Amino acid sequence: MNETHHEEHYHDQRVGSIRKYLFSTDHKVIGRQFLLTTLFFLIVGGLLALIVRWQLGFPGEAVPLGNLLPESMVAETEDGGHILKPEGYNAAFTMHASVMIFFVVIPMLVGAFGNFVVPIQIGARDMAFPKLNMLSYWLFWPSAVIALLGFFLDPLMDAFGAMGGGWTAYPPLSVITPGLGINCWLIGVLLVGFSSLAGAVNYVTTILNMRAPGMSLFRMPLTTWAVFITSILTTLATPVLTAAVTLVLFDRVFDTSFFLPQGLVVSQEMFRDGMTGGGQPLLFQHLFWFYSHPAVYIMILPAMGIVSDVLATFSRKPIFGYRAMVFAIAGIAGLGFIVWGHHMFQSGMNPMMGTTFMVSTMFIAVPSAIKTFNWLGTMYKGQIQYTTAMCFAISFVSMFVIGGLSGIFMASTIVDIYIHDTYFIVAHIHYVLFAGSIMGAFAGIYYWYPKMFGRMMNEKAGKLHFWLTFITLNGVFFPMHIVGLGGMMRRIYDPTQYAHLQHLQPLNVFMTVSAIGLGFVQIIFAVNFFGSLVWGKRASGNPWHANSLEWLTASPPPMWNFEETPVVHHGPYEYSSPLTEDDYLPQTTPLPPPAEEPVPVPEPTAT
Amino acid sequence: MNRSLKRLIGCAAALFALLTGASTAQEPLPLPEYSGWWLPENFSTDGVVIDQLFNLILVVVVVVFVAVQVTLIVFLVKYRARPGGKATYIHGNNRLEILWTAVPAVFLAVLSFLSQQGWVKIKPAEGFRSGEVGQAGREADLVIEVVAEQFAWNIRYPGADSKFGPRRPDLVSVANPIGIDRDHPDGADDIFLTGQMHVPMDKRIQVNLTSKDVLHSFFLPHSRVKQDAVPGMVIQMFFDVTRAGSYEIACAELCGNNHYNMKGTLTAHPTVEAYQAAIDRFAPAPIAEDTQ
Repeated sequence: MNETHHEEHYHDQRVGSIRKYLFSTDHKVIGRQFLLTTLFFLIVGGLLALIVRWQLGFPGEAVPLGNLLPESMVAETEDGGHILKPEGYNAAFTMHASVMIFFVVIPMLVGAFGNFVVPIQIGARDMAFPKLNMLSYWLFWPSAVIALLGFFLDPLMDAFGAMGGGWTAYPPLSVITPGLGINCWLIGVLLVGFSSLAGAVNYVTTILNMRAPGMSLFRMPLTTWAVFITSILTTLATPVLTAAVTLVLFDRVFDTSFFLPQGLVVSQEMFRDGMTGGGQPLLFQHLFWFYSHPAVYIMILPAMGIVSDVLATFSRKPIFGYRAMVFAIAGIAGLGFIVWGHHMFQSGMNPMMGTTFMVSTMFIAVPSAIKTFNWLGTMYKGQIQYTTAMCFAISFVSMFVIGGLSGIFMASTIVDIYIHDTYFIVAHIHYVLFAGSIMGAFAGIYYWYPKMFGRMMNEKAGKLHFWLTFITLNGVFFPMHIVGLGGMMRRIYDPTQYAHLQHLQPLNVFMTVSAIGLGFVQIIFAVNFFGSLVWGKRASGNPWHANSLEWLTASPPPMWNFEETPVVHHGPYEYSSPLTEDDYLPQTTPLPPPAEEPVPVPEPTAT
Repeated sequence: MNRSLKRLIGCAAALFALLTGASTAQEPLPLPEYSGWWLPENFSTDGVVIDQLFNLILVVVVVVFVAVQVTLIVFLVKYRARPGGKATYIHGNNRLEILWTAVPAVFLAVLSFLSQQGWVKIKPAEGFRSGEVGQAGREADLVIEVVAEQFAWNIRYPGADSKFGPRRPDLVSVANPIGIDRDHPDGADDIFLTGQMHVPMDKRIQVNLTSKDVLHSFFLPHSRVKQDAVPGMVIQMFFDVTRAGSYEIACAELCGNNHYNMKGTLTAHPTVEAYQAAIDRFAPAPIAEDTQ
């Protein structure tokens, strides 16, 4: 493509509607596409979670609307009900995790917010590689469809349903279990890795090369910082997952033995007639967690960035310790690469390595603590405006504390002996990923919705959505700590099988009821989200009186984001500066000179 | 083929139940009482150390949690927007940053240290994975082999000679699920059980843990024991039980469709004699059986 052609394209904005709305290279369209798509998959993942919760709360009872589930998951009872089979249960929790991680949280935080917000926040016209950006989105769909294909294949062939080996896909189980569903899942995960990689390379390049004049790295808003560091994590970690998943696929399809030891006996028969050997199941766990632990930070850091921006805006105060916040993000990302072994304390890994990973894991709590204290510092002596976005951001801070503190139990190698693989861990990850990432994403949606769609969301419905979500989420996830301490293992189809878990069953019922409530509450959000597209009040360019560049253009922004390239004069958090009349100072407005140089008065010194 | 195999296993299991039921004419030892929403009662020496650290972390965590939430709520009320009010322009405070970096760091270092004290004792690195008697990282009174499979716990005792015979995957059959070489002099007297484990109370038990097929995890909630079983590896682990009684053995690592049902029973006998009598009932008949 030559220069003149590029220029022509720039001036010709009359592109066809398919190019404009479907196969667009505009980062704003792709961001909105990612947002709507991931919200759709949030429903899919949420329904799968409800199936899991139903079975745990009411084991062996017919699933409501069970007749709609694939035949590979349910068995019909004599009275026409459909009960979940163990393989259906395993597929449900495996797919719940896979959908939520690969097709909701990562692409929502990075794909949707990263795409929409980052280029505007740095004053760029678009991403560095618009076509690669489009490819990233269009790789997402095939990968999601393929990963979920297992649910629908059985009427055609013996696919044995969707993947049921856990989202961790530990071999040998993921290798010796027959079924096309697992191959589909592996290929889906492989492809979605390319989608994230394409996005990550794009963000790094865009942020490094396309910042507006005056936008030094330390003048970038924390959302952009978080996406930047997250993208570096993605580029370094994702290839390892790709490799691991490929090797499992080879073990399944080409009868290789990367992860299979010698003398494997399955159902009293030598597996592959004894033609396995030389492989190591633990090798997979190392490769898997080398990606998947940084992935946990890929899923939380952008939410932390969003929350930082929202907290500063609605406290009308500069973020407390901006540089410390940036270094904390970098610290979490750096340490995040050397803590993966804490998932493997009880795996058969040499206990000496357990010590190493325990120490690094303990210390990753330090930057997390720094961030929490800085968020509190940001609110200190502020003028807190309780918008819906702010409520979600505050709840993020409060709930992240629970998720962070419960992590200390697992970081201790010996306490982990007991709580590893129990519901205590499930509680922990959900406090981080739901009460953290998803609530952070909600904060982001309520905050940037006016910018994305040019209309305001309904604040009353938003508050209602917030409170009901906040209450029900704690109803679902807090009791998980208790059943976990009671010794309830993860991924079990029927907890009532165990004498030591039967007295905890009322809690399981309570969690299931709360989960159903949590599901229904999201209808308020959906109605607000789609209703506001039509009936919402028109948004001004800067409805929140915020400073960063995305608020200094129209809502929604025009084709190339800005009428003219913005020039940045200072950082994004100049709220309530004593030098200005207003309580905000956009990044493009120069700092006014100090009104009067105060004459230094020598302080009387007491002797 | 598969169906007939299942039927055969079913028959064997029924026969097994009949035999064991007939011979457990003695009173079965009671399960612990279950109530309350907390950790199940601990009946082990290592568990005491684990529970102590758990409680310590809990206390600290609750203090931090309450402090942060109270501060947050106070700020939320005190600094709510007022008409005409302006926030105080503060960018940060380096002294505070250093303080709240250093204090958690020191505290976490102490926790790491305390945890490590227990870790070297409970899961010693010496002899880890060697799986050979005499190379243990810890003194033990008794060595038991546990071979996990989909979906059962196979338990083996070395018998009178205190030596385990070799296991050979090609000898595995429905009658001999872990492929004990009965022709080998060490293997002839090995005692083999499925789904139940017997130990004397207050004795240190060494378990040589492995798996035939996929990953499993040997979980004794009451002894605070958890260790993954990995095919191709023999992992040493140690535990004891300080109260005579029956306990559940659970599988804590997803191992397939019946993972939820992969249960076993651990019986801690009050005396070594009672324990010996319990496992002797499973001793192989002196005549070599037809394993072919």
